[in-house]
Amino acid sequence: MRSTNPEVLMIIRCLKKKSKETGGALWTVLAKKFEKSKHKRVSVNLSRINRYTNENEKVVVPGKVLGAGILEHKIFIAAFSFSKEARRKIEEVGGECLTIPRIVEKYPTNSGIKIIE
Amino acid sequence: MNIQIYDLLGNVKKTIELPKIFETPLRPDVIKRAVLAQQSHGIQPQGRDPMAGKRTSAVSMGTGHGTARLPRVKGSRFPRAQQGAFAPSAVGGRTTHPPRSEKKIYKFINKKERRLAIRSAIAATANKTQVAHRGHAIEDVPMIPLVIVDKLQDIDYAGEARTFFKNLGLWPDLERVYNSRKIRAGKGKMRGRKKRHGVGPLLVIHKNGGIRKAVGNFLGVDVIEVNYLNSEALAPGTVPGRLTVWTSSAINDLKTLFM
Repeated sequence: MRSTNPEVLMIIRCLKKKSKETGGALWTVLAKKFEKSKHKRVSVNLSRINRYTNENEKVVVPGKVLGAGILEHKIFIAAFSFSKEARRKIEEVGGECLTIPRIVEKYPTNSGIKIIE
Repeated sequence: MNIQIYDLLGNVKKTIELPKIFETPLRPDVIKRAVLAQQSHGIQPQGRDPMAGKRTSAVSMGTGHGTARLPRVKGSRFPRAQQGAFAPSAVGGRTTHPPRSEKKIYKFINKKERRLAIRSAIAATANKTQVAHRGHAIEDVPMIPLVIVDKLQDIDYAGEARTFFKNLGLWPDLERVYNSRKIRAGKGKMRGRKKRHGVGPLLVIHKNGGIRKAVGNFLGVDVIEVNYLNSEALAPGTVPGRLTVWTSSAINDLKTLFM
């Protein structure tokens, strides 16, 4: 069942709207991921994010970011939620934790954004 | 967020910081689930007599007699003899699928979900737009959430309570409830639920010192001790944002409760 959380519904609406406006397919893909049930929502550790990104890259996680592992470089990362430890580690290396609506607003054309899950 | 504590006359006594519980995000979906579960706990089980229509030894004669294979009462030379019985199609027979008293009508809700609902409903009572959206008359209320000194708990006369309501601008809401009385639509009115009325302010106290009796006759006003707070009291009819009056010690208790 789709989540009934108003926050998730708002994210889905925001992503679909932006996708229609800019034609950015990535936002539609993300919206579809958020439409899945809560049990299918992903949680990603920092070690995994570190492995698949380079310095100053933009990343979206359609779920929660957890704090296990070491993050060696600065990244801009948007997710549904962050654990306390993950937030601390990201900000320690100069990165930025964003909400999904925020990153949609900041980079509407979604060029160079990676989905990690 | 800082809020003011008022005395019974409506003067500002001091300023305190609201507990963290008031920062919980609004989750109308969770509140709805919790309230519906709670409402189901008040429903009485109902069902038919399991033996109704079956207290007979009627049997079918089977085929070959030129009549229907309906179960018939045994015997002869009395009116009931050979009449159809037992089957749903016969007069006085059983019902096909009657309501059963063993049906589970008690809805369960997970403990953490229930607590989240209460936290979210508490936070909604501090949200002015949400309270106004519920339909409460709050133009004259000096502050939302409204926190009063502990003396409120010791009011034990209805007259004193009335002056308190008038001093704090809660009287318009009581009048709104009084004017909302009506006769229930439908068959409920012949089943002991004749009159309906709106919901007024909720008084959340730490310990009763007479206030419960004092406001007992005011329509729509409820008094509840803070550790007995539940989502139905805070969000009647699943709509969060009830006009709530807290005593200062009740607000203090919220620092540790429902976590």
